[in-house]
Amino acid sequence: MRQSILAEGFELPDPAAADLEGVVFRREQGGLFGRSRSYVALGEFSGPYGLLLALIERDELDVCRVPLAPFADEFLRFFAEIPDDRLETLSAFVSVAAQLIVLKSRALLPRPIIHEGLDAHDLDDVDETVDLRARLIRYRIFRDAARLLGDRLQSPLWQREQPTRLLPQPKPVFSEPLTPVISDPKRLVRAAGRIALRRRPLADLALAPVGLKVSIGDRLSAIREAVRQSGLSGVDLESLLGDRKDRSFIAVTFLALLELAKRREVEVVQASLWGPIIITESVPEGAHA
Amino acid sequence: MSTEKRTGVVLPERSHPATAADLEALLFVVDRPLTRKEVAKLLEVDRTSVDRLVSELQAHLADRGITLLIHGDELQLTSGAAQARAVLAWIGTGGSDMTAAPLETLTVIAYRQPVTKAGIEEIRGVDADYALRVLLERGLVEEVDRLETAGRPHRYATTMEFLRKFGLSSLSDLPPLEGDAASILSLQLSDAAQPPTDLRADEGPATPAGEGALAD
Repeated sequence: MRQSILAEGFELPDPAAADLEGVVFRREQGGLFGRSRSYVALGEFSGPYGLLLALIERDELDVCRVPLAPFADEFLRFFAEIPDDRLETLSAFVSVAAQLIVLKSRALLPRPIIHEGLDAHDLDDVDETVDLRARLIRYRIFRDAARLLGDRLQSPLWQREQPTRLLPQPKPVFSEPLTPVISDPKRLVRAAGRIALRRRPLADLALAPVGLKVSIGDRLSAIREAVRQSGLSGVDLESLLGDRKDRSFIAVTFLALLELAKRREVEVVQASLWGPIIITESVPEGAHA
Repeated sequence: MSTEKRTGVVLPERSHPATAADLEALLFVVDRPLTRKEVAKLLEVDRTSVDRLVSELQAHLADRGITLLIHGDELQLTSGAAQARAVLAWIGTGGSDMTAAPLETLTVIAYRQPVTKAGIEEIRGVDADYALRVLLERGLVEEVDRLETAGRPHRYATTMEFLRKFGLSSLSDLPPLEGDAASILSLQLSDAAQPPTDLRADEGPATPAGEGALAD
């Protein structure tokens, strides 16, 4: 039985022919009887009919006559490696693979003896072979037409180009063409003076007080200096603020104080709630010793 | 004597009945496809006369470098397919390319239009979602109507852009299907196969009452 299947073309010949268009062949050692076997992978996806046709045509077999069952193994081998994992694609391959498996399984069994009067439709394998073969032939017709059509892509038709819509010409600034004026520099100076006199006077600007800028850097220096001069007794924050009561000055001074405390340059002590905030110079570590 | 059109343009009096040359001049000047109805109005002739002028112009342009592109009701003058190389020197870009899946899908639509997605998949044996999306994005096919059946699926047909891209002056220029299409009939196909519908030269996509039997 096995031999007969092989004789029907199950053992596909080693393809010496070049790869088919859109299909990549690759070879593997260790096929049946240790022969070199060739497998097909679609370089460019074109569906299960495309794959089956590629397998058949690779061996220069006639799709109208060649038994399809022997291609089941080859087809399944590709199916196992199909790169597309979309359900729709896989199901399309499963459908064809299932038909091939049925055909192959029936080919392994003894053929039934056809009695006279037996309805031909009882021979399911015959029907399925015919159906699949018809689909392959129909697909081949369109595939070949597609190839012919594809060649025509190199000879397109061109319509007339759309005329470029030009922007309207800008209105000329001078109604008459400009001509160079021959003149002496003194006239130019006088002309410039007249133009200057025609200049519109600047609008009177309202006078408004401008707040003094206060930077953290300035306040850092001021605090350092005050602390240094105050010695061990330290300096009160109130005295650092002086008469300035604007919020930005107070906020910047306080930020500067925090920065100095963070750097451990000063020590800040408030002995009691709402009591004076005294700032003293930090004692370096080890100085107590 | 002169004729004043609705637009206020004063036209010289017509010295002769509208000819194929008039149609040629009109299509040459207009930079978009004209419908037969527009042509009839502009040339002041009836639809039958337009059809006659189209046939005359087609015959007149047979050996010329320009061709009359006919897509359904639309008409446009374009360069000829044989002149693609000459025109390329000016256009500066070459022909396009297309992978197998969209090309096969487009071929099925071209020969079987109008056809549903299911009809395409029946022939190709694989899901056509991606290929259809590519073709729609490239303006090569369009949804023309819906099939009055369960789910009312869209039916697709090729566009004028398809004819231009593939160098076809009309659908009748499609290469004949290879092989013996009739041989399909001799095979017992479960979906009642029929040979592809004939596509007439100047009537655009064939629009049978239902979808091609090959497809569904």
